[in-house]
Amino acid sequence: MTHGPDPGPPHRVVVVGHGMAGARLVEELLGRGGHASGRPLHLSVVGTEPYGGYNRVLLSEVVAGRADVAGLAMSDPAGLAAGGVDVRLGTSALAVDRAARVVRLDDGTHVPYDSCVLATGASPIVPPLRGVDPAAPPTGVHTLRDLDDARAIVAAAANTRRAVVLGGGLLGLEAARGLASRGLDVVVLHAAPHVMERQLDAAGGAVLARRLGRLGVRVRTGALTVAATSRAGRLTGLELDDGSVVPADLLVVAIGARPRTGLAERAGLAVGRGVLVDDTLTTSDPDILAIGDCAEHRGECSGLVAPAWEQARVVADRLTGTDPDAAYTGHRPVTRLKAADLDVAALGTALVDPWEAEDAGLEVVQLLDAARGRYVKAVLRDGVVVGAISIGEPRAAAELTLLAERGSPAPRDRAVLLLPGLRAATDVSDAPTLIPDRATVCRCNGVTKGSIVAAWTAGARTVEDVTAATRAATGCGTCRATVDGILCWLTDADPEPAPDGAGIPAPTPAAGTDPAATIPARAAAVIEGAAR
Amino acid sequence: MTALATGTAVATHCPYCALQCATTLTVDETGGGGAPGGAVRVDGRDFPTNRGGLCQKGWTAAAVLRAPDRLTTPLVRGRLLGAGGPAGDELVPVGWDRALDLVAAGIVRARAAGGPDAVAVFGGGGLTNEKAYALGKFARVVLGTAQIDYNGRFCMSSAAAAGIRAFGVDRGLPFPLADVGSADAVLLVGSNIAETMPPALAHLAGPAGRGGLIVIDPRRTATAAFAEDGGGLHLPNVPGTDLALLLGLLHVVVHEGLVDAGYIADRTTGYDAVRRSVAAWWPERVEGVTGVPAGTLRGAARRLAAAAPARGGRGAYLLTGRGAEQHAKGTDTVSACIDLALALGLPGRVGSGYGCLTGQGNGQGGREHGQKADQLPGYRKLDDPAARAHVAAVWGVDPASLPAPGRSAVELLHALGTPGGPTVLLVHGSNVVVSVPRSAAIVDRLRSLELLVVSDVVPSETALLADVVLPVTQWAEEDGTMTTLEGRIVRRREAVRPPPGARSDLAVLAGLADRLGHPGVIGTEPSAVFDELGRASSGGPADYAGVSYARLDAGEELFWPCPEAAHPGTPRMFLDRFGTPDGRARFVAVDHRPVADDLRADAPTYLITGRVLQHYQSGAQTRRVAELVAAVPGPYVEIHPDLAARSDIADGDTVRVTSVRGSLVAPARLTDTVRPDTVFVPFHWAGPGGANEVTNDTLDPISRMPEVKVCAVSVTRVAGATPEVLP
Repeated sequence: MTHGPDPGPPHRVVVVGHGMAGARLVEELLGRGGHASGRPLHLSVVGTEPYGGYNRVLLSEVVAGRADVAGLAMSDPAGLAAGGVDVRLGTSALAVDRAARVVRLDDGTHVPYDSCVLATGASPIVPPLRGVDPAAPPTGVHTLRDLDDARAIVAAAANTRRAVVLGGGLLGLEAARGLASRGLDVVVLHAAPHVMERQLDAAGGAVLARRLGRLGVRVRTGALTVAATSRAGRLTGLELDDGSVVPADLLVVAIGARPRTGLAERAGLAVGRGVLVDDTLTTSDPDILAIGDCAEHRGECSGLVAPAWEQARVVADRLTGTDPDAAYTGHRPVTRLKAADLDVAALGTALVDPWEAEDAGLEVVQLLDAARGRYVKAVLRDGVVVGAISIGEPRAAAELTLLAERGSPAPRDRAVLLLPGLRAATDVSDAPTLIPDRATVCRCNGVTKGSIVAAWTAGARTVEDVTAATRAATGCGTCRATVDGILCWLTDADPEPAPDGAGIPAPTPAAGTDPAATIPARAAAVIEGAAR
Repeated sequence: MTALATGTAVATHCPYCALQCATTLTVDETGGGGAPGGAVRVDGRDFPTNRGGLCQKGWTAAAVLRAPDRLTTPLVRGRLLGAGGPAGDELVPVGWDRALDLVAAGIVRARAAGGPDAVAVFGGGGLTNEKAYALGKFARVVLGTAQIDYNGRFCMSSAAAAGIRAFGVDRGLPFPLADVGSADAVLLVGSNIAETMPPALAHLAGPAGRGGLIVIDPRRTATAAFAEDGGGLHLPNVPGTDLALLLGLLHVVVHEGLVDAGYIADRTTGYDAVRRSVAAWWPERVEGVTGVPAGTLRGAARRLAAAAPARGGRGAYLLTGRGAEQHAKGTDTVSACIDLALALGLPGRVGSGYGCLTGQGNGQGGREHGQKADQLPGYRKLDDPAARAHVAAVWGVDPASLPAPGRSAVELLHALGTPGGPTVLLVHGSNVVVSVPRSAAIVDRLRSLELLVVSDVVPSETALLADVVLPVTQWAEEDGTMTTLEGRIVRRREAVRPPPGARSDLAVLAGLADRLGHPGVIGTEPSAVFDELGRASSGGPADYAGVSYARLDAGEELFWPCPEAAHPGTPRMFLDRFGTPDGRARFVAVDHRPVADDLRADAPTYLITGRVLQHYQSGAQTRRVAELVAAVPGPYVEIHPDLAARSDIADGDTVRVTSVRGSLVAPARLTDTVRPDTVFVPFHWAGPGGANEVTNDTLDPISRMPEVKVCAVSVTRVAGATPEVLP
């Protein structure tokens, strides 16, 4: 409780929508202490789904059996309510009455606000298909947008053999891969010339389609689906514009989502594709904000979680007064396919033709390894990665993403961008005669190969002798086999050395050892082998 | 140095790290080593932790006893003796009485002007249990000051804080180190144990040989290479992202159904909140933050889970080191690691667990006996009325007379000489000038003091700034106890007589107590001080009441808690219950956050800091051992060839590494074991190559640990400079 001067009436915030953006906003607001510029914050949460906020990004993982439904939860409605939040889940907002400054709900109640944040998300797009009544589609037709969709697909997948995924974008391919991993025959029907055409160029699309093929997912591109066939109310297949039919008992429609703007439109707010917001995430009404998939910022409706969470952070900073000047200025989109054995990442300006890049002030490097399904492409401007595609090369995907996010300068040798896992050749040879004398054999005591050779020259013939003379193998002892191997090699090479060990490399003292030149255990094995 | 008896073998322990390798010291009066009084030979002694092994530091430890610049007489600035002119600034030898009188007078003056908190005390994790205990008692009873803390804040304070909030009590390893050898998997988070604690690597050979060693480290360290050579994994993450990586591992464990549900139900609380919090950290998102491919992360999580007893494995251990802990989010990082361990059902089970690899020689004991700002002996809390009453009774004082918790280390050092801050500082067992981040500012603070008193063995960089330097005894010259990283209490024994003129820290404190009107409060006989420590710790989390020199000298292996003389000690904690009020371990939901001083256009590279095998901490000891200096003579900057090429830097070039706080200059060492976005500098040196001139002192909000492990820097070649080799 605050003592002293009356902090005034609470600032009432209602968050409409309890998906990934809305739930995150609630968490961010509460994490800042529950105050709004000195006034107590009163928070109301409205959500259509009966569940607490959950991780929608992982729904395709649920389809693939790689995510646990119970583990998707990201908010705790009971905990929120216990903490004083007015939680209204399973309830939809019907209208925002801007004059009365209340949100009217479908249960007949209303919630007054000082600030209203729209986080209503997006709805899956279902194309007009002959034979599909959107109000009563045949059994077997699904979208993949919420938890109930994912559960229904998992349940349906248990009793079906052939599935079609309509749409070869990110979500469609994740779903297709997931269904294939459940043992279904899966066909992806995609209207564009190659999959993920918004993120990948033609070569990338081709490599990805081939990888998918090897994983049991057939891709048909340029396929315009016009109708669904069904028997007794159950889906039997999809008909293309060329008249061919692809048999299927399960259809997952994944051709995109449309921002849910109905509430905003009815309230008279400015709406484009999404609810229009400025860099402060404010709509055309200064007391109403919008974040996440329902919002359109600088012409972008990203549909990705990272921008939504960044927007939630900015709104929380502003509403609580933590940072009244916080602003959202856009996000560099990173697309990362979540699917086993595919390893696809795409970001920034990647759809650049290498032969036209120079005119645009860009530089393109790429690696195409069709046989192994690898494709890596980096687009640079002024030595900085501004776009990239990586398929089948996980380290490249990770490093290119980091480089682009930070705007760090790229390696001079651009090949390193494509294969960051390649290690520079070391000067440590596996051949026992070629291990440099300065190489450290016993790290614990800084004993080099040269010192061991010197000890042998001076008469040491057993590991114990060498240990006594050099302290090799007297620390952790893991180099004992290497010491033994060197002794075996020396004995083998010259059983009766002349005094002072003529013909044997001169020893080097422990001083100036080179930690980088430590002999790895596998070299020790080679030494042992060579000695036999 | 003088031998106690020529040829006598004395069983003691290495002066350096928390492994406290067992050694035998043999004194040869007849020569060798060229030192007066003969030579001391160090041999490894068979012991469960080091199994007879020693690293190069240990084998050469006797050289520290022969340090040519060993302090053997108290030194005082001439001006304190009334000398004027240039002589006034010099340290001149004086007798002990004169030196202690001056210190006592300075303390009295400061207290008269500024009250008890005008005098501050700074301790160290290398001090024996007895010294650490005496230091805390001296501060609270003799000085009555709240201003005491120690360098353990830069050591394992984050792990300690996280351990306490999960388990209710913090013992670095709540199991014997040797237990680790039987496990199928070991996850090392930010620990280069092959260089920092070399003989301990032997315990990892079993898991490593089974392909079960997983190392999280931005560098391909010797430890990471050891893991890879055995078929294990190295996860080379972006500096400062251990927390995200651990959240990602836990995400996979949760979502792939790999948790130990029975254990979670029976032995823990708080799982649901943690499960909700890690829902946000799916592997592909973690990849974008850490640079570790999602598939690699999944593979690592599955390997750990397969080793867990719930899934039929032979056990798994998750261990953190300074790399994970020395961050402004260090406590939360360790909590994430503990959460992962709890989800897999590891802590409190024989053959599995979570542990912190404590670094300093007595880093464990040093954090238990009251030299920490908020703490009383027995790992008690200074703000707990029952704890105050118990300890006050042992000390024979009124509980109300005990001060409240004071400033933590970095805050204390930055307060020195400021309005309202201390004007007198007593330093024992710490070289703060080298070991504290933003060290130039620390030097300014030390210079602004009315009186700086440093008790040390050699003229360390901190001692050289002091107004009064008091020469004290070192490891082989004294008796005492140390508590290893496993919570095992070991005996340090006197093998040689200290040089005439050096006194134990206990004698220093007792001498000051006498002069400040508290005669007899501080004991000088280590065994008696230890017995008193036992009484003060009795009933506390770290209960030593049942431990005695007699039991230790009889060869008993004793791990705390050991509440009674008949108690066998506790090698493995938490087997039945955790140290929390309800006996259950607590999951703690945490979230990742970026590096405090993160990359930007004019500082596009991370600096990470760490250690080399041949040197220990601030280097005050090891930089005086010729063999170690010959092996690694000075600091250097590890740079990836690609970053070097972009910056026109060749191997051996002198480079400058600059942050907003300061810069260092050292030769470049090109290596592909460091990430191209990162440079590495070992921190054991002062002067132009001192890493902590550059590092960040932003503090962890819970442990008050500074973020010395990572900051943003620029790296440039210094034209025309010759690389300097620093002493």
